Amino acid sequence: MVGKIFGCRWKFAIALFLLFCVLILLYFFNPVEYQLAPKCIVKMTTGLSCPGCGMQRFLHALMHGHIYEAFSYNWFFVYAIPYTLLLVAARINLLSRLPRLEHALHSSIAVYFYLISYFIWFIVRNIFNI
Amino acid sequence: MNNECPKTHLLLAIISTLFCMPLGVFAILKSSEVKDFYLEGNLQKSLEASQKAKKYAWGGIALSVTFWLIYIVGIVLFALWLEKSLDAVGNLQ
Repeated sequence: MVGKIFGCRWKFAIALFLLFCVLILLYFFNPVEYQLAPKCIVKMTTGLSCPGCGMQRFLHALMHGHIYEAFSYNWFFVYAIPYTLLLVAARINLLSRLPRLEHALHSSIAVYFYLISYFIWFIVRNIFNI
Repeated sequence: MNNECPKTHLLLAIISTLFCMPLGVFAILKSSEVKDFYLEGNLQKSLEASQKAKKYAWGGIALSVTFWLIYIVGIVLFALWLEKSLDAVGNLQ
């Protein structure tokens, strides 16, 4: 059963292990206070915040229960994180009972909506310095 | 010949965009082309798009990680250099 759910188990195990390590590190270390925290290539080279910037601060705040503060670092995650989690669920065959949802997630409308909102958020956050 | 739709690698592409990489955007575009070409009946182009989507998505993640590693090495080297320079100044006084 487990083997059926996790089609390629070792890849899934590695991804889960890496995610777990990252979450533990981010729980104990606030990325704002440490110089060695990973930096965004776009922000370092152009000075602009990319649509994914704020991910580490977001996770740190979220794991400490500061939900509003977490989303204030990047409002795009309100939409992007659930979408990604649903895609992960589809990937490990958890949505096989909901074929319509699975189809909608992979439809070109969903993909282009993600892409367009990604760029709109990129422009908006740099104009208003969010 | 296998006539199934090639993998779109959409999840990988989305994760790549969240890793802050413009390459992820190209990966998403390629990933959406996979199904379009497949529905048109062009299996060859669909397969090519699938491979490119995978390449761009992993490329984005790898570039991001490499950039961070270079950044860390840079900081450590700078700290060592600074320590050495301060020692040299201390010896002069």
